[in-house]
Amino acid sequence: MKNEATGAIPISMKKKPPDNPGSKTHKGIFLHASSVIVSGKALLFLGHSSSGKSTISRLLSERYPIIADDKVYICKNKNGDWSVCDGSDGFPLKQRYSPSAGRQKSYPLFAVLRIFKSKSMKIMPISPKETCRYLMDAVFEIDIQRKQKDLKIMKQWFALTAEISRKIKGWRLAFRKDLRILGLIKEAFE
Amino acid sequence: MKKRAMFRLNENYRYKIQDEAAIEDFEDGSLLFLCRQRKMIEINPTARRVLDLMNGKRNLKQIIKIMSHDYKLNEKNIREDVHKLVNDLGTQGAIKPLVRVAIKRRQKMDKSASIMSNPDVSLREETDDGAILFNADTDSLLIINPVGLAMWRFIRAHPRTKPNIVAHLKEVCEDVPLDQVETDVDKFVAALQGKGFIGEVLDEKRSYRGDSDFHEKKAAG
Repeated sequence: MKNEATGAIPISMKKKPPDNPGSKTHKGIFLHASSVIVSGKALLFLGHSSSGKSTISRLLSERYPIIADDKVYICKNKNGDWSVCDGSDGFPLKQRYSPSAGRQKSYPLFAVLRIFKSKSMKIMPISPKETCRYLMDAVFEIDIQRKQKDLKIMKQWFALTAEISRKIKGWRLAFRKDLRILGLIKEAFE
Repeated sequence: MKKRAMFRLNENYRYKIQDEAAIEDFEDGSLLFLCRQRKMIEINPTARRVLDLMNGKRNLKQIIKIMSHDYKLNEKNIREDVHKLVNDLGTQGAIKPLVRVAIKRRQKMDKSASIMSNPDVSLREETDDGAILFNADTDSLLIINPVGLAMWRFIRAHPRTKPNIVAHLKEVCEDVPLDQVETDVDKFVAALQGKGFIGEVLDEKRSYRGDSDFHEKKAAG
């Protein structure tokens, strides 16, 4: 965002406050999650700290490119589909994460998986209600969103996560730290 | 151990979903999200119907009647379920009774009246010296001392009767004679009521005595 002529950040950009995720102009949210690309679409892995989000991304990176391994940004594109991109750069300006702006590559969201460490590998579908609960957990695991006090914005997040949950299938994935996870993901999502 | 909030169930009260609550419907039921508490409550379709009816225009008695008609069940059976649901939701802070705020000084509250704070009043707490109450409705300010603040906190979320308040303040303030607490509470309640800072919880049995002297307000969350 630097001014090419002077190397300085344009004054207008300095003054403009960043958009609030969830506000009327910002139909998107940050999630504490990791994500990989499978067949051109994004799989989203949700879980609390140390649940294995980074581990699963690393294991899957043998075959599938990683989008993000700690923080993702999900927003709705013009067609009404949900797109995922890396949210690790922190609080973005609206246009930066807008898929149409093309500054950052985003991928259509295909599935939401709540991960659990386990001794066996198992994947099973969960209800949209459960998916919504997990997504909301991930919303409030982001520092800046946890501190949010505005009821309207929080309600907006709830509406967004509910909308995602109704549209995108949710899964519960029990996994152990070995490469058999690649086979499981291939079988379920490719 | 966390103390559970007291919730008063009364079939004559009208209830309403808290301002902080949002509901989203799914094919297998609904979720009620309490924003401030970051709490998610699962509700089944029957509970959802009760919440739909709980729009502040009907009292619980009327809701039970409608449910009994809709589900073709005896009122007695429905009543038990509705009471359980309302108690659950109330204790979790998901619903609130509506408050009728008396603006005119001559409207006197009786001892059994349930008192609650006016939702339009905002509170600014000062470090040691109590707090300032501001009524946006009437543009009036009131400075209250720490004891007044203790009472305000007590009536902020749940309806309380004067004896409730006296008992609470007797606990808060050690070594003060009961009759003095009662006198002080009477004076303070009258002062707050006169300026529209507090109101009486809407109760059908006594709510339509002098409607011109009242205006209806939502209860504080």
